[in-house]
Amino acid sequence: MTDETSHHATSAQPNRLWYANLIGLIVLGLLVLAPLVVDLQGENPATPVELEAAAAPDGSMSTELADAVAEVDKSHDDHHDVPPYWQIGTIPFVLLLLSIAVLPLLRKTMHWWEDNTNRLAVALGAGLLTMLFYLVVDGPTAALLATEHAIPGEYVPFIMLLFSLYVISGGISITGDLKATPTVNATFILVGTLIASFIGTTGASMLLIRPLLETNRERKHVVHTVVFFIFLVSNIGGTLLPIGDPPLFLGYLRGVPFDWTLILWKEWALLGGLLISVYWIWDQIMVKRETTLDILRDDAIRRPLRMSGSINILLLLGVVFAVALLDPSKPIPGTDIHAFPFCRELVMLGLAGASLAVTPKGIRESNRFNYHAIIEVAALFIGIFLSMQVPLAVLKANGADLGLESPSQFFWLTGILSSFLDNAPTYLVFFQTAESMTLEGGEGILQLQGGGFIREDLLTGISLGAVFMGANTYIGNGPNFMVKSIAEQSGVRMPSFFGYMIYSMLVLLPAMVLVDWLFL
Amino acid sequence: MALKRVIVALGGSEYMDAAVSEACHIAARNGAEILGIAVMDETLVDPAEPSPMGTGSAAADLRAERREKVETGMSESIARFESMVGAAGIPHRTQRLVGDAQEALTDALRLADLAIVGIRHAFDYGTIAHPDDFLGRVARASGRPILAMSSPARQIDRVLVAYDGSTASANALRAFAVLNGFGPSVIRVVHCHDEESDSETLLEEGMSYLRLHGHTVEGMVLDGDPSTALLEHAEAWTADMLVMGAVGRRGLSRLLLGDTASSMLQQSEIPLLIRS
Repeated sequence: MTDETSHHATSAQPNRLWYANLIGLIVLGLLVLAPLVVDLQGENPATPVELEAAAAPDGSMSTELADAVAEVDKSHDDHHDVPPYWQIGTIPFVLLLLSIAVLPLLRKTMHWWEDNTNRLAVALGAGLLTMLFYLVVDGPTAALLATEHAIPGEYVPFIMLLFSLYVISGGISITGDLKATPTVNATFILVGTLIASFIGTTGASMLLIRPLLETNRERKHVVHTVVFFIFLVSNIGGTLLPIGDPPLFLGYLRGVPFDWTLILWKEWALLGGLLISVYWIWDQIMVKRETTLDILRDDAIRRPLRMSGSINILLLLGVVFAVALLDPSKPIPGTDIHAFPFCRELVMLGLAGASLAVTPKGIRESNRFNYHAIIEVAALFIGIFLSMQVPLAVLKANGADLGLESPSQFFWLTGILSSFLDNAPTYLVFFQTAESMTLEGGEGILQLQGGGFIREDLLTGISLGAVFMGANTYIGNGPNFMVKSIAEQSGVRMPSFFGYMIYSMLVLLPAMVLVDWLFL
Repeated sequence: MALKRVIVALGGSEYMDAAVSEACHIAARNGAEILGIAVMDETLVDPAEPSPMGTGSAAADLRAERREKVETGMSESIARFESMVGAAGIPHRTQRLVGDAQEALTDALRLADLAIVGIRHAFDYGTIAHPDDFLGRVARASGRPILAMSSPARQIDRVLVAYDGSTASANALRAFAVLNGFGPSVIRVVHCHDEESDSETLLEEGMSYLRLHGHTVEGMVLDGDPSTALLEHAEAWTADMLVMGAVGRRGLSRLLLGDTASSMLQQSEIPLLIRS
C-alpha cells in the first residue's frame, strides 16, 4: 500500500521548518530577555531592568516599563496607544486566525497542518511579523513592550495552567459500567457539571466520558446523551472559576479577582438544572425505544465504578490554590508576603511533575494520554498572543466607539464568535472593549487588580457568552471535539457538524435567550 | 445488445455477498466478466473537517484509525469476492481505488454495462456512511443501470416495472429489457395515477416494448403517493425486483415534490434496478 510507505517516508525526514522554528524561538527568547540588558528609556544607560520586575506574570509592568509606556503614550498622545498603520499591523492576526480556520479544510493543506512543527512555524511567523511591525512603526521599545505583555505576561501563565491541568487530570481514570438508566446518565452529567469549574472542562470531560460511554454501550440511542454531556460538562459547567474555562483564566490574568466568577452561580445553576431536567425527560423517552434484549444485556453487564490515580485530585486542588493564592500582583491573603514572579507557574509545574511521578503505571495508557493536544495549543497560542497585541491596542483606544453598550450585546457577540472561534482570544477582544468603555470606578464597576476598571454587567455578559456558547458547535471548544472523537471511536454515530448544530439550536439557543432575558 | 461487463461493489457488508452472487448469476447467463471494485471513499474516511485548537491531533488519530479499518475491510472484501467468483468459475478482475466513491464508480462504469451495489451500503466497510441518495447520484452521473441489491440474494422471477412516461423511467425500462440480465417469468408494469396523464395509454406503451422482447407482461394502475404505493404493491404482489427511473430532485424541489427513487433506496427490501 503506497499510502503507508509514503507516510513513513515523510515522518522519517526531518521537517525543514524545524530549524526556522528554532531560530524563531531563539529570537523570541531574546526579545523576552531583552529588558535585562537594554534600557528601555534609552537615556540613562547601564540600568539593567531585572527580569522579575520586567516580566511580572500578571501582565503588570515594572516601573521602567511603565515609564516607557508613559513615554510612548506621550509621543502618540492624539491617538492614545494605537500604533500608526494599525490596519497593516492587524494583518498577521487575521492571517493566523484564517490559517487555523481554513488550512484544515483544504485537501492540499490538511495533512501539512497536522504537523505541530508547521503549526508552530505559522504561529511564530505571525508573531514575529507583528513584532517587526512594532519595531518599524513604533520603535524597539514598543516591540519589546508588546513582547513582554504577550509572552511572560499572558502566554506563559496561560500555557502553564493548561499544561498542569492537562497532565494531572490525564492521570485520573474512572472505569465501570452501570445500568444506563436516565437517572444514572443524568447523574454523570450532573457530577461533570459540578466538578468542571475545579478541574477544567477538558479534564472533567475526559474523566467522565469513557465510563459514561461504557455504561451506555448496550444501548442504541446514545447520541443525545453525548450531546448533553458536551453542553454541560465540556462547557457550561466551567463557569464558576478561572480554572474552569481558559477565557476566564485570561480574565483573571487581566486582573479579575479569582472569586469574581462565583457570582455567576445563578446562571450556572439555572442552565445546569434546566438542561439536566430536559435531558432526563428526553432520555426517559429514548430508553423506551431500546429493545428489551438490549435492556436485559445492559442489566446483565455491570461493573461498579472504580477510580484510579485519585492522588491527582489532591494535585488538582493544589493548582486551584496556586491560582487563587499565588498572584504576584497582590500579597498572599492573610500575610504581607508577595509571591515572587512565576512562583505560581513553578508550583503548577511542580504539581504536574509530581503527577507524572506518582501516578500508577497504566492509567495514562488507558486514558490514551499523550502530549499532542497541549503541544498544539502551545504552538498556536504563541502566535495568537503576540499578533493579538495590535488589535487589542486598537480596541483599548477605540473600543468605546464601537457602539456596543448593553450586556446583552456583549453576551451575544462574544457568544456567536465563541461558537466558531476559540473562546479565549474572543473573550480578550471583548474584555478589552468593555474595559475601554469603563473609565472610572463606582457602583457596579469592578476594579481590576493590575489597574483599570470594567463594568460588571458587561463582564458578566462576556464571561457567560464565551463559556456557554462554546457549546454551540463542535469547534466552539476543545473538549467538544475530543468528546465527539472518543464517542465515535467507541462506535457512537455522532451527528455531523450541522447535525450537532440542530441540537444546539433547538436546546441551547432558547436557553441562551432565557439567560439573556432573566439576567442581562 | 449483450451484457459483457458487470461491476460489483465490494463494500464489506452483508449486501456485498448478495451483490456478488447476483453478479455471478447475471455474468454466467450472459458470458460476461465481473469487475470487483473496492473504494476507499477519501472524502468520508479522511475528511477535511474543522476542529478546535488542540484537537487537531485527535482528529488526525481518528482519521488514521478509520483509514486502517477501511483498508482492512477492503482487503477482506476482495478476498471474499475472489473466492466466491473463483468458485463459480467466472472470469473476473479486481480494482482497489482511493478517491471519491461516486467518481470512482462512475468512472469504472464508462466501459461497463451494469453495476451491482449494496442497496444501503456501497463502500462503507462498517466505518463510514454514504449520503442517502448515493446510488441515485451514481446512476445520474454514469447514465448506466445500477442494480441496488438487497440481502439476501433471491431468484428474480417476478419483476415490477414503474413507468410514468418520463425519460428516466423509459430508460430504466429499456435497460432492463435489452440487458437481458434476468429471466423473469412475469413482468408487471405499473403506473401511479395522476391527473395529467392517461394511465392506460402509458401502460400500454411500456408493456408493448417489453412484449417485443418476448416477456409475459401485465399492467396495473396504482393510486396514491408513488413511493409508498410502489413499496406496498411490491410487497403485496411479492415482487423480486423493482425497475424504476432515477429522476433525482435536489434541494427545495426534493423537499416539496419528493424523490421517489431516493426514498425507495432508503426503504426497499427488494432489489431496485435504477437508471436515469
